[in-house]
Amino acid sequence: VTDGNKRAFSAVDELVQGYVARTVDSADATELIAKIRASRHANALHVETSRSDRDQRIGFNNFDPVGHGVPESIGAGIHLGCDDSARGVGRICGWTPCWSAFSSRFGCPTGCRFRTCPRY
Amino acid sequence: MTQPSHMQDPLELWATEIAQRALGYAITLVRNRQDAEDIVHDCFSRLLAKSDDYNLPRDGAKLLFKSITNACINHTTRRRPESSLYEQELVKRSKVQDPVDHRTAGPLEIAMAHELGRAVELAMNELPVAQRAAVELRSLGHTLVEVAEMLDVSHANARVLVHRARAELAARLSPFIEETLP
Repeated sequence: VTDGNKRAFSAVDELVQGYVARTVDSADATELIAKIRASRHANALHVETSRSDRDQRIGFNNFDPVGHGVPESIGAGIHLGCDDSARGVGRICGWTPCWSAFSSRFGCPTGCRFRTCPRY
Repeated sequence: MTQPSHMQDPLELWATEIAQRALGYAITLVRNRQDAEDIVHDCFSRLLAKSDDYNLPRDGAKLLFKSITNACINHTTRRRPESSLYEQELVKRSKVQDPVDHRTAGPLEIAMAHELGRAVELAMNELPVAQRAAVELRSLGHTLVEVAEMLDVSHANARVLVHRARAELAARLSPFIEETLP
């Protein structure tokens, strides 16, 4: 790299820095932050309600179809061992079941019905 | 007076602090505010869902920028090719400010800064997305090693991307650069 190039490159760096800084300054993230906050809040609510609904509906606390043992807490978002999450199950609703036998028999217990979830 | 609960949550604080930078970066890569917002929101959601696995206030920025970069590159490469007229239109619609303080600058300075701002934006838009990502990540203060990790390329490859982007920008912006060089 010649001296001329070095000077040109540092001038370019300065211009790019200015451009990125101006873009960041003009990007109003208020709406995005509200969305993130809302989805976290909705997810937390959903986890709570779906957990108690599910437990009541299917007697989940005593259900052990493949003999893995019943975990102490079956909350949405707890990954219990198998890799169903690789197929996208639970990406939105947080439910990542390891019990394939259970989910193929009963479907997703959270009932979020998000369109890209394979259990929908 | 107590703060609202979301203000005390470290993840919430982290997300609030980094959101604008992440959104600005995504906008420069996909050149569409709504798409950028969707991508950043999706990346945040995925990362926050795994908040138990990572220390987000410490490592989150790197992970988030990596995931945004990948999502933006995917988005851009899958998008239909667009004509240069559209690029011009994008620049015209852009809300990025000119590189000058309008309160203190004279009309000539404002016009020149406006022209420079447009030229930089257009030159950036014409770079391949990987080069654009590399040079922007560098300008956001990431090291070459981090850029390589984020773009999922080797260190040497990251260096090449940055070099090519700079060379391309230097060529495209040469009339403006020559004016500023001693």
